[in-house]
Amino acid sequence: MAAESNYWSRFWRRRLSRRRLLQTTAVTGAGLAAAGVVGCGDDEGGGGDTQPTATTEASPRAGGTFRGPLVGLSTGNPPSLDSQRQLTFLAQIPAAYHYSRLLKFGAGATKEVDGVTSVQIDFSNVEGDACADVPEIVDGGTVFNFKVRDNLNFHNVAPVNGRAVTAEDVKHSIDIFAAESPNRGNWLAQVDKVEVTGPKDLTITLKNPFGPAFQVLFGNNDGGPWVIPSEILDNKDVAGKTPIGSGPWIFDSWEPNVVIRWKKNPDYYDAPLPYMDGFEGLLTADPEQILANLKNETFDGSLWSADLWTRGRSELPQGQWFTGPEHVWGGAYFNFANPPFNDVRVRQALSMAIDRPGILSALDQPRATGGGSGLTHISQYDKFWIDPINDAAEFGPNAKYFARDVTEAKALLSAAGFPDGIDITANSSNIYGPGFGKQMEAVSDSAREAGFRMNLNLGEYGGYLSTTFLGDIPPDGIGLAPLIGSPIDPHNIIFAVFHPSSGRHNWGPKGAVPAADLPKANDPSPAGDADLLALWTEQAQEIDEEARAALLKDVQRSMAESMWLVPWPGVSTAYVYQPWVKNIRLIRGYGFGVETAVNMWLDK
Amino acid sequence: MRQYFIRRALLVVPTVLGVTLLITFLLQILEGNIADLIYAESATFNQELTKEQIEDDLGVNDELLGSRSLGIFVQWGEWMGGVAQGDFGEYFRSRRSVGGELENRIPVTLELAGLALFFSLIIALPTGVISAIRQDTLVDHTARSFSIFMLALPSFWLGTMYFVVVGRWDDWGLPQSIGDWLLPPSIYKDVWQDPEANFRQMWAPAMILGFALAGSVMRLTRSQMLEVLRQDYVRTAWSKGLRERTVVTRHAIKNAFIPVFSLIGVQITILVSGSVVLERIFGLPGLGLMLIEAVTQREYVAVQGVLLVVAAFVVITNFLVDMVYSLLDPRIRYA
Repeated sequence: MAAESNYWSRFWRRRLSRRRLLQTTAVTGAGLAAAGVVGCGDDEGGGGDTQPTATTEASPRAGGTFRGPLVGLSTGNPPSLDSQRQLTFLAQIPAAYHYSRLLKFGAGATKEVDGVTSVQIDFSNVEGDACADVPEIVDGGTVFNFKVRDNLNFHNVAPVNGRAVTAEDVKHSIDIFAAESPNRGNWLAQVDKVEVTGPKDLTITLKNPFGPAFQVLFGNNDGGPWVIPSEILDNKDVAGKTPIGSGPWIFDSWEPNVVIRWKKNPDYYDAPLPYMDGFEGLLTADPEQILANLKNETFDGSLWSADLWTRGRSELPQGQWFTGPEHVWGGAYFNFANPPFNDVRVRQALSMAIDRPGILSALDQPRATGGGSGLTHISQYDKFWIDPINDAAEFGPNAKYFARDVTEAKALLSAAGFPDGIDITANSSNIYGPGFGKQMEAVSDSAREAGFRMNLNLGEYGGYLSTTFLGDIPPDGIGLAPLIGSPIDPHNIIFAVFHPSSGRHNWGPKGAVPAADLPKANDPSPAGDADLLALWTEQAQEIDEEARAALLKDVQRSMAESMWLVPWPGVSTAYVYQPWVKNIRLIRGYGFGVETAVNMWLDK
Repeated sequence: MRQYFIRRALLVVPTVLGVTLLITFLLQILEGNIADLIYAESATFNQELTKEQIEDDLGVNDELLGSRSLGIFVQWGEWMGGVAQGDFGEYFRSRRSVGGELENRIPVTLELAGLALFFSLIIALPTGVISAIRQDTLVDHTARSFSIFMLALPSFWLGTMYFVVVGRWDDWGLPQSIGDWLLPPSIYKDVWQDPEANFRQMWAPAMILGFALAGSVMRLTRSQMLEVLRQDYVRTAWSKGLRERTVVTRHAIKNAFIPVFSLIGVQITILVSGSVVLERIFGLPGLGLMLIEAVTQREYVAVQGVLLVVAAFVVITNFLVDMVYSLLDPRIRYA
């Protein structure tokens, strides 16, 4: 082990230096000369055999190892590295370092917000990853012809030893994903068949045209299949511990709760990328520890805790600060089997009681846009979003439900039979951290003025997730939480959080409603909203992006009125990098290893 | 003595078994299992994916996860049977061996607890003795205030504040060599791999954990010393004209330390539970972090494994303390 040899070699070198010192002293009798020998010994320990060269942004410098928290905000330790069979982001984030996927994405546009670079979510810039290019699409958007890159090889590590990736490898990876991944719901719902049509050719046929196919099925930013050699994938023990893929980084080691290490893949199809020799993703979580290490320059960068936003910027003034592109999106959600929230007026009143801009301002957290603004039900993707405050004219009359109006909120509550307001237990979990706690308190304080008296009940994560989160909410209660962290396409939010046929929908009553039973007449839940259900299906099958965006905006307008969930401001994630980290092209979490880290280089 | 030893030793096994059975039972009361979590965390359309399918994928079943009746005893029996053969089972998700994971984690927590105990004793025992023999002086008042201070400050707060403070060492103009010792290395190294880096990582959490223990040990040491110093045989020693050091070290300390020794045994549990928080703050891959993750992720087999180790550690430590206590104070074994 390299680290082991470091200490003991230092130790023996020190011993050796002392011997040299004695020898040299004995021979020359010159103490000064002897000290010089000791100095030489120590210099050898420095180990720097590369000469620094002057570089500019335009001339990337190869070498160096990036060190920083892999995730940053939570424990970061993956339960397993078998990313094909694990859905948690803790297992998906490492996968993008050592695995390829069918497609990847180029960086989105950036804009300056309050002196910080804000990265926008824009997945129009699709590129081939395992595949040479974006696929040929035929038959009205149902057939996708992929061609695997000619120069794509698995890592030169036993047992695959650098063999070429074939279409059969891709199909086998997909087959395992479709059979065993807890994230296979979309795949099963959309994909009809996968066929190998040549050594490097693969055809994927969908059941229906599917608008967000690139993002949701093939790009893996929402948990699609990774390309993994069968030698690894078929052995769950190996897949969970020592992954081998064809991505830009070769997995080196995983010390649970400590670090995951990767080395540069010298045979990467896009050589000379990656520029850095290695990446050390620390599985550390404590924000104070992260701050101390950034301050003392032992970390090169990190995802940043939103509740330390101001302090971080003042203590790390030299840092390069970014916000987004991820926004943790959430809201208040209900059990429609029980009063009072089965009455749309109560939900509308709650929405109008919340002072969203005031909360964002008071929390002094990084400013979010899109989904993080608390002004949408469905979108973290700016292209599909209308701002109901600043673009109220385009949004239409339902924009008023996002504007704070305490008088109107009280009137609605009174009309619903609660002139004196209502007492609510707001259930959530303590796992989301102090920043989330502050947000909920701000929401609670804000809503109180209109008559919503919330008692916050933060429970243990597992218990909360298996009850409240899935709609098992008591009559006097609501749920409050981030409901979905990863999806960047509105489709996944609609079909995971809201759709009645989604088993994990975040409203009560708990449990999936069979598609054949929809819509349900006179049902006070989304299962009874025939127009909205039709819009949801229509947007999924619309392959023209502009037309789909128009449909999604109609979905927003409809949901602004029904308020099946009352969104409130989420946290916009932030990142900080040391000044010597160059060429930072942030895209989003799951793709960081292949889309961002691969382009970065170190100027130190 | 032999009879006492056998009687106490025979109690160790059923106590540990009882604790493991209780743990198995309590885990069944927890809401939600691993399949619930995976199902709820899924971010995609789930119409064609049921919780039962996820349970099948994981290779778990109701008897193992959901039973609240006799299945608990079957599960416990099977698991204990495996443990008896050295097989602690596997994680549901990663199929990593729980036994292998415990093997990696136990030394970290033991080292932290051992160092914490060492720091607490070198602080508490001399302070307690000096405080007693200089009763009601400035030294005594200062020592007692310090012990209250140590008792009052929770380790998680001290741990967090530690990083807040040492993160600024560069601002204070301290040399790099001192900064390297103040700020723990960001990647854990075990003691055989790099003893220097290991100690740089361990000393601060061990000191913080030791503080929690030192306060109560110091106060008990002081009160026991005061009691012993008023005994007739100590007065006799003074009247013989013996020096203070001789009176204290030869006649007073041994008897004063008997209850203190017992307290240290009991406080081993504090060391183990305190390590849970500090391991997280300082990024030490010990049993505490393993337990937190296993509970959060509903990895019941791993939870059982950790708690078995902790229970066995506490029970055996207390057994050893009882044995030593009975050697120091023969009245115990005849009671």
